[in-house]
Amino acid sequence: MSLFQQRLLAEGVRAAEGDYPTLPSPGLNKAETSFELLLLERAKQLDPELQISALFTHFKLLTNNLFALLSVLLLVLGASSVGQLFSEQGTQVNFFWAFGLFFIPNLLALCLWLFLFLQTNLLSAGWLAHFSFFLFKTVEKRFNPQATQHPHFWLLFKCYFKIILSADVGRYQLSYVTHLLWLSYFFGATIMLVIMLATHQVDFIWETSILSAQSFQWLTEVLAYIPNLLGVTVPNPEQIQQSHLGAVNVLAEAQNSRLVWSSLLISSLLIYGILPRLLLLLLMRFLLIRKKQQFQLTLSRPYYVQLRQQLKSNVTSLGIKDPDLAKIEAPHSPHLETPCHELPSCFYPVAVELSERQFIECQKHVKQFSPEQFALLKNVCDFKAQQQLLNEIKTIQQRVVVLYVTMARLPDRGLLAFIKSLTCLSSTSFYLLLIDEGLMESSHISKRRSDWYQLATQADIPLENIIQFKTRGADE
Amino acid sequence: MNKKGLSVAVVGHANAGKTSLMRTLLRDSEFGEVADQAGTTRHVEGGALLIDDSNSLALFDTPGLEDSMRLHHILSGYFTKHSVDGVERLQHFLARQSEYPELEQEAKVLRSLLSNDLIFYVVDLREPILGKYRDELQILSYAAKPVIPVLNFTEAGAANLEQWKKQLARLNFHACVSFDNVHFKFIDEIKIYQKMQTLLADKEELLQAFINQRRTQWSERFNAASVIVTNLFVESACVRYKAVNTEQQIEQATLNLKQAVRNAESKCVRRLLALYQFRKGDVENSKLPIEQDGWQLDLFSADNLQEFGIKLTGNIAKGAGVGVAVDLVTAGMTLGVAAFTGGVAGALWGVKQRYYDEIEAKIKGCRYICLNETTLQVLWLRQIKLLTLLQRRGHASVDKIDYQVSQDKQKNELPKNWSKWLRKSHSHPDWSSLNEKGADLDDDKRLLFIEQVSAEMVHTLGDL
Repeated sequence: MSLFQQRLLAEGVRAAEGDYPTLPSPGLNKAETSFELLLLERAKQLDPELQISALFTHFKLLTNNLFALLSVLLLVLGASSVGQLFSEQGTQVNFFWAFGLFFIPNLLALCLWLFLFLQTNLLSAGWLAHFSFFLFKTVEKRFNPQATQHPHFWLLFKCYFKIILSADVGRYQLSYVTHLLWLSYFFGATIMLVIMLATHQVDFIWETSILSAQSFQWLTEVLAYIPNLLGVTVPNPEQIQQSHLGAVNVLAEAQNSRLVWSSLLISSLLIYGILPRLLLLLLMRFLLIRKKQQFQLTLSRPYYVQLRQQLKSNVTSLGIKDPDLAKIEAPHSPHLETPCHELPSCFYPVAVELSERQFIECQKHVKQFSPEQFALLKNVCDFKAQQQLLNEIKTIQQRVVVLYVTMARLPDRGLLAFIKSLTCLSSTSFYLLLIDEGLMESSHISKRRSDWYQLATQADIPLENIIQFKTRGADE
Repeated sequence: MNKKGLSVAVVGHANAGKTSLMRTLLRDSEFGEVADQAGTTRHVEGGALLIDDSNSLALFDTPGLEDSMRLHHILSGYFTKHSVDGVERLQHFLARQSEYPELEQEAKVLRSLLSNDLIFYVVDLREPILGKYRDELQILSYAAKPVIPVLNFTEAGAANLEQWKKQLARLNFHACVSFDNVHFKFIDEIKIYQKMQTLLADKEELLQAFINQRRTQWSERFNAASVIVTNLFVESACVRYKAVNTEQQIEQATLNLKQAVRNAESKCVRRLLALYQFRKGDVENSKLPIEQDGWQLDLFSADNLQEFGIKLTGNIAKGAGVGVAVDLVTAGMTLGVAAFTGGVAGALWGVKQRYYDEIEAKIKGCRYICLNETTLQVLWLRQIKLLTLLQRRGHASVDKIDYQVSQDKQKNELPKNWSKWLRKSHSHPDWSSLNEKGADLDDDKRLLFIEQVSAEMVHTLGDL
């Protein structure tokens, strides 16, 4: 399967899936493979289930058959046009009329094709593409009704012909077909012309009402230039002049004149009709193959962006590197109701890890409830201060120590260890005063309060010794 | 995992947002465990962002440093009589770790510090600068690895930002970046990688490739999302349901229309959530308020006339072209009648293609039901709001996304080409797959229109 066919298949899967990749992609080796290769591999894996390749092969066959049929039709049309020319003209053939009849439509069609071809997308997005699509659809509906029973038939049909007949591939495909059909037409005409000239005796004349004889003389010489170079016998100036209104009288000369005019007509058909179309056909064939090789999937489409996330996620889990071997006991959730909020009248105040603002609130509180101990208040924020306090606590006179902490802070293991070491040092009664600045969301308050209750339990502080203190800001 | 590249240890105090940072960088809402309590993460867990097929950026989430003061005290107690570097202190502690079972989590962090190339130190800016944080930074400096302090909760802790920056600078940590896991900004993520580039000069190219890849993925995702939203707009603006002009029929058609549009919106929301790797449950359920209207095709609107004019001319040309071919085949015997007939036929065909349905409905006494403009505006604004929220949402966010349209009219600004888009959509009822007839979703003009609208959306919303 060529790369183009693989990409076509991937587009087929996209058409079948819709705008979101829903089908599974099992068994893909995702390691060190690009996203596109994974995508193509996935399409290949899904193909037997979706039967896309079989349909696409059918569409290709349909295309080839239809183009072949049209070529045969044009071949017949070309041949019949010659027959018409002979029957109408009797024993005389107006050379320039015959030439013009073949070449003027060809020249116009060539100019039209060139104009459309040079305008990007005009050819592949225009009526020719739509007409081709309509033609395929009609043929398929008429001659192949059972094939349309495939669940995704029309989606795949549209997808296939959208690619084949649009963008650059469509531009070259339609150009290729155009030249193929004209080539068939000229082949038909040339073959029939040879047959007719071989079996009929006709005199070639030329005539004019408004143009001068010199013009025709010059035109014939120009026309005969290339055939002459290629060694084809062409009419000489005298023969051209004699053919004016069939003015050839001598039998031998007439025979000779018929030969040279016939060879000019046939060689003109070959050189100015068949040869350019053949060359363009080959060129378009070459470009079509190249464009098919260069055909890219639009990976920025939402479908592919989502598929990339599925197939080639740029994140991989590295798992657990340093596992926790210790079994953690589920922390005991103490009763949330605090039975007592009474603060003793005289206490030793200690602020623990408070911010400046919180410490100011703490100072205000101490001034209000234990003003005589205000001087002892300190904010314990580092290891040194912790050690100092641990030394001081052994010697203090007060029977109660109040620890000011902020309720917003999550109590951690370090803090627990410090408070534990405080409580186990003396028989003093410890209180925990939770400062609530009112900055926490209500949904978090009960959770955080519970965390502090847990700490208190672990540090042997009775739950009734926990007091919540709302600052003025919080009250507001 | 046999990959080369870079490895980063994400460390910090308990509940500073380490796992949240991991989730946001990995775009993985399921990574690790996030809870509002200390010691949630108890093991070292990793995730890798692939740079290319052979390189990756590995990130390792670590337990919180909960007792850094004690750890620092122990570490500074070693080798008091010798001059040793920080790494030796850390190794000395790890060799004796069994003596300190209560510091098992801290030991895991130290092992990560030593085994990775770089350290992200996550700071909760809401916190004041305490001794334990200074000790944490001191311990980090022992590892002799480049450290990027990641300042989290920048909105809630904006008041402490300068203090923290000063403190970090005093400890020689200058390469800090602000990164809010809740109010995510992609540019902040890029800044982290750029800081890494500065600190790891030998990996500069690799990191540049990684930055480029992240940028590409980000813009690809945004573009894809804008196409999804535009597609919903086109589907909804072009939809119309035909109903016989009786109350019952119109009511039924209206119900069907509402259902179809709501389903399309739900589908769009699901796709956006999937694209941004969020869960279905992350979004607050809200019903689109729908009001219907009668489909009115303004035959004389400039857009319609222009488009119809172009089409009509094209059809006349095509018809005449076929006629000319017939004239030529008959060697001019038809005297141009075929060309004239072809032109007329082309014109009639154009009229049929454009207005057949409307004319037929008029004759049969049917009418078309469609969404009114207010509904379309609400639909558009909801999706724009959702897209904006998704662009700014970190994967650690737990709050539900509410994309209800605000009542504040100033916030509900419609794009400047809104009316033009609406007119264009109304002139293409064949563009909506919600219609009973369906639609060719790959129609070139439809795709071009979606491309134009989504490009303008990307341009307007810019780098969120």
